[in-house]
Amino acid sequence: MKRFLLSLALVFCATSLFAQLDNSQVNGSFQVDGQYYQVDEAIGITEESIKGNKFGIAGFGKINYSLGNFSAGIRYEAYLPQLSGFDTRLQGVGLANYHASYDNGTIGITVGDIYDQFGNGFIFRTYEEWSLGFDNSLRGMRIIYRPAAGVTLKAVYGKQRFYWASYAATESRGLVRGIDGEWDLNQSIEAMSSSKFRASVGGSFVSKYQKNTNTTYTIPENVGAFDGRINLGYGRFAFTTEYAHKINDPSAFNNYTYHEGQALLSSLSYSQKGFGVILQVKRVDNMSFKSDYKGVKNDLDINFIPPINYTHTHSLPAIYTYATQPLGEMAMQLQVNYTIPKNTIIGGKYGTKITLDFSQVNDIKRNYILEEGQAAPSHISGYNGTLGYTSPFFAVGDRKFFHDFNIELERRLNKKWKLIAQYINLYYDMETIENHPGAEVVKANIGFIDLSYRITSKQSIRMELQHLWDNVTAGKADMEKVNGHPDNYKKRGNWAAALVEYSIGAKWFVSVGDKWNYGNPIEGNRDHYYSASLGYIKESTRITLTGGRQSEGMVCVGGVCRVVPASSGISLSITTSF
Amino acid sequence: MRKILSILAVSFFMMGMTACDVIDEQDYIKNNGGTTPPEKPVDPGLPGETGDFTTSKCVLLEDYTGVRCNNCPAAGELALELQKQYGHSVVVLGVHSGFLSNPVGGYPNFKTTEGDEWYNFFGFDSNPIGTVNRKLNGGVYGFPSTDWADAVAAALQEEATVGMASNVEYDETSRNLKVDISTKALVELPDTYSLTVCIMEDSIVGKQLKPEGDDLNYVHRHVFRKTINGAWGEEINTTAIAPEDVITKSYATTLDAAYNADNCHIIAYVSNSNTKEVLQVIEKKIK
Repeated sequence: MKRFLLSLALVFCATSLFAQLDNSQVNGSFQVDGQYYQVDEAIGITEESIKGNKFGIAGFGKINYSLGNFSAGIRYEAYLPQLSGFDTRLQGVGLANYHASYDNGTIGITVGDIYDQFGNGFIFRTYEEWSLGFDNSLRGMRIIYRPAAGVTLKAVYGKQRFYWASYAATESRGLVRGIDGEWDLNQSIEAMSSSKFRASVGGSFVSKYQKNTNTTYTIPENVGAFDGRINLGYGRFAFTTEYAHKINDPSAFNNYTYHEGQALLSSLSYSQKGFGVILQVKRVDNMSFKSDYKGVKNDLDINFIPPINYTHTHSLPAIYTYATQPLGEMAMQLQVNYTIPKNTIIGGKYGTKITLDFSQVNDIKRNYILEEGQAAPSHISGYNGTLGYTSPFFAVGDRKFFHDFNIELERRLNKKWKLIAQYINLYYDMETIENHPGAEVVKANIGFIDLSYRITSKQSIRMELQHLWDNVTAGKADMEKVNGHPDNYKKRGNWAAALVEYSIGAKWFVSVGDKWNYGNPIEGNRDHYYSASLGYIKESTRITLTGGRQSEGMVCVGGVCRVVPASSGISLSITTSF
Repeated sequence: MRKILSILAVSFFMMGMTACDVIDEQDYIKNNGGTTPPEKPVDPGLPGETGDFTTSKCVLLEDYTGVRCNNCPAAGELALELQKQYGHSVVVLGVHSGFLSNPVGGYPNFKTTEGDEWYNFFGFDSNPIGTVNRKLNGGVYGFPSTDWADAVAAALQEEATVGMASNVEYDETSRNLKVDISTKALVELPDTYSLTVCIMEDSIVGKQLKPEGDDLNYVHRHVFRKTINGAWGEEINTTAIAPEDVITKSYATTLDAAYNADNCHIIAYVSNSNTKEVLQVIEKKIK
């Protein structure tokens, strides 16, 4: 390690000494997020819940250096302590990641921390997501070999990051090794290079090795997963499909059941100017794949299950964001985009964009393997130490986890005004998605308008008005249920939200907003979550100062979520890159 | 191209053959595959029950549970099974803490300030979760219940470094309780250590949420009630403790009128004041 750091330091010294080298490049980025927390008993934040942690601060600095075929980088992180809602195991400071690479186009070698993915990531994806406090990078080696045009072979080997835990051999988490091959026919075969028909195929194999120290179960020490994928296209049509299979992988996450894992994602799309349609279907069955069989939540995920739901960016629809269920889901999504041409009666002078999206996720069908007289298991994967269940591949389970139907219109009204309006119909199985036993399903209708007005060429103002109608709201809730489990109703009921943002040029912006849970069935929860922000942007630097309240919710990126507790105070965020 | 694809196919095949362990169904659970199950130790009674020093290794299994946690009864069952399997070398403390233990909707209130302090200190955010001798598990204190058996088995393999003995006197009329706990170092103990004395009440009947719904007559086992000498106990040394050194601490308190004295136990443990790891634990009924 010391030797490696010394080598890196030498490389950076060399950078300053030989800055005249034309090919040499240094770039990087920094981010600091700090928050001051204050007691706000109206929204349940007490001295006791703050636990004396009045400040949270987290930051990172990432520096990359490249010289010809060589590149190297480091990433330093500090959590002093981590912000509220982030895993407490993040607390600490240190050099989280480093790597060095050489790639001459035919062969590429990386040593250190590796971020990569095979296909959609069904059996291997390592990535870092700052907003989730998630980093499952692989410390080890990667070799990439490109023997011919269009052919890429990859091999990876290493141990995953687990907060600040050591990478020593004595650490119990497992080793990950994988190979991947991809063949792009259009690049390989000259006759196809300008063809309308496009095709590529790929395949991967990933295995983890972890010593079995479990005294009760025979845990397989080598767990392998296979993956195959095909991408086809003809003109404006595209079809992609990927299938993955994982052998028995009992773990704390799947209640130590031995059912094999499977995943399938297929997508068919058509696009032309002003019109696009995409249909996606997905089946996931027992595909949590971790390098530690004792891991829970998002710990040490080797793979990634991509979500196929619309990503909402406005605050009220984002209250109920779907989190991918690796233990099983059957999902579909249909999205149609159409732009009504400009200078028509309906399209107006500037044209109108319409997006129609529907997605639904159900459980898979599970036939539990039970002994005579045995009751249905409480864990979705079945009884521990058994095969758990069987599941017909194409059968859809009765339990619906989620649906989202939404229609969005975007239209420039004239030179000054622009309007975005959306209607959303949501079904959200809170019990499954947020793991709140006994929670009632959310059936919500949401509408918002987002209006922008250009005052001058340098000044503009943007307004948002949002409303959420919940099926469980003040006056319509079963108060016996509410009083029995009040924790399940912290954010239930109707919401209204408004925001005004004023921008001067591309440099300054100021915004004030409020979210009001006025329809919460519990009177004490009918709180306002007001906030004000001031931001300054100069080139690649952005500084944002925000004060006010943050409501409890979930932050999800790519279907991976973390719970954000309610908070009150002032936060400062600085990001820059060079 | 053919050569490349052949190399690729062979590599995939070889990795697939060597990197997959498919387990036969009859071998899912160890000892079901024809091997001899390990002998269960003879129940020696509660550790510390005899008044002599308990010098064999005993393990504290804390079950952080909640009355509105529908997965908690299964975890409680598991703790009980482990206690039966290891003949009370496993001492179980059911600590009700976390939001699923909030006593709303007619559920009983077993929450304690000490329990909440521990829950927060250990960084827990959901139930059921447990600690085994409060030992770190890959950087965290919590073990999901599915890993308790493993962790307990491993902890029991360790050599005991502390012996403990107790003397408990209870007056039924005044409900006065007097507890003497003696600790004896079995090896040199170089750090600072704390003695914590808890009252545990077993078998309280009350409402509990289960996967199939509310059970109004659920028997709550091993319910942690309070500590007699603070959440983190009393420090028993300032300098290293030499082998065979005995330290005795005495405490007196009045048993809360709400507790059923017939079902109350004293649970006492010695822990490292810095790491919180429990070195030894004993349990004794007060009557």
